[in-house]
Amino acid sequence: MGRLSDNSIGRRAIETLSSLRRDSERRTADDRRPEDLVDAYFDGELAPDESRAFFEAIRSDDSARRDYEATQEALDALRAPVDAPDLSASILAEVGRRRGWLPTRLRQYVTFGRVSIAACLLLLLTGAFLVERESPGALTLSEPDAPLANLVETGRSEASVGFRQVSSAIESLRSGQAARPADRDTAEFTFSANASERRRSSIAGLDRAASYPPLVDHRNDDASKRCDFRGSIRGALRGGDAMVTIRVMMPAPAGDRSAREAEAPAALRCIDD
Amino acid sequence: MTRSAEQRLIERAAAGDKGAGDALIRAHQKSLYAYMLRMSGRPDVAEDIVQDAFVRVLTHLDRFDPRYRFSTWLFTIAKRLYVNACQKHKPHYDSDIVGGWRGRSGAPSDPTISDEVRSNARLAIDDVLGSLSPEQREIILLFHQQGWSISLIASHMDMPEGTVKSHLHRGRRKMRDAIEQHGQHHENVSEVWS
Repeated sequence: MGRLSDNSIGRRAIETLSSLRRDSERRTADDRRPEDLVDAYFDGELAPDESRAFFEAIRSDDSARRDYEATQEALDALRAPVDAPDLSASILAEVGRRRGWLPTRLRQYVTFGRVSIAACLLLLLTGAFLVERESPGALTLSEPDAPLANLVETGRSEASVGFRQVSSAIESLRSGQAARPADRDTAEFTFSANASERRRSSIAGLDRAASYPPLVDHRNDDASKRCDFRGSIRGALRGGDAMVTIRVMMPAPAGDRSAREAEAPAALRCIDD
Repeated sequence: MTRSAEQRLIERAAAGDKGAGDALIRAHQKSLYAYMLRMSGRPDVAEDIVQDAFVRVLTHLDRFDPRYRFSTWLFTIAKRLYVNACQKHKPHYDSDIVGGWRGRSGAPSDPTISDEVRSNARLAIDDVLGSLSPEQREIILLFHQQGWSISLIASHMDMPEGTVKSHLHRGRRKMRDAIEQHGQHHENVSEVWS
């Protein structure tokens, strides 16, 4: 019973809606409000005879006429031509830079080639990464860098050569051949020792300074000919050359000690000789 | 330009013919610029969008679907670029810039009162365009400036035709009200001076 009642209510609702729809469809342009007619006109929805009726209607309807005129004026202002800049040259140049104005087929080949090269490079890098991860150093073309201990050893042996040069330089000082500033108690001797080819390959790329601990402690054993030397060596590697700077500290001469000193032999000894 | 002629131009441009690309640009750059200028309210933004849209379209002509109009494709890309630019830089509608810029173009040296009134109406439109919602503005421009149909706009904007019409009517009424207020203001000024 209840279901029948529901069905009858639903049927009546549908009939009412259908009736309203039919009424709506029967409405003509004459039934519409002037405002709706203005919208319909500017939407381009009025048939020619409806347009004629519309213009007849707005002659006698001031409000609708004002709406029409104001809308028309607004749209005229909207459609007013603008002074557009000519961008064709810059656009064509940019397109040419990106695609080169190549035919589509050729451009596809070029794109394919570029993508292929990029893919190959990516594969190569990935392969190298994997190989390096599995066996580190397998792809290294040059000898691995020598440990610092080797470097120190090199410095020591080259320092021996350097100290022999220091010895001759002090000899020059002693004999007065080289002037030494009176107000300085420091003499510096710099020499350059070229690393051997083998060393060169082992130290290549280590462009950094390496400080060595003091290697020398020269002391003249003869008490009557006192002349103390203290020295330190500082080395730096630049490219393939080992640049070693030796600094020798000598006490400032006082009184006639300088004469004794001048007579004193410069007994230099390198601790690792 | 007919669709078949435009299609031939597109095919030639895709085949690497620079002259055909030039012809396509010249056929559409003014309307696209006018549309973007009214959309953004800023000549610099409009210029950038037009440039970028053409570069993208001409670089990917092989993707063009000939079932659609070239202008529809171009405007769709331009709109996307504009939306992206809005999200990035939040450009605001500047009716002062649009009015001042447009005022430079071909202004008569001895303007009559009607010229002045018309010019003021354009300023009023620039103002009211800035006050419309982005949807209303776009629909008004596509329908009344670019002459697109309601169904094309609905498809372009991915919204029902009824919604498009609703936006169109509301936007147009706002424009009409602005013009009526402007006319009322003009009448008041005339009365003061007469």
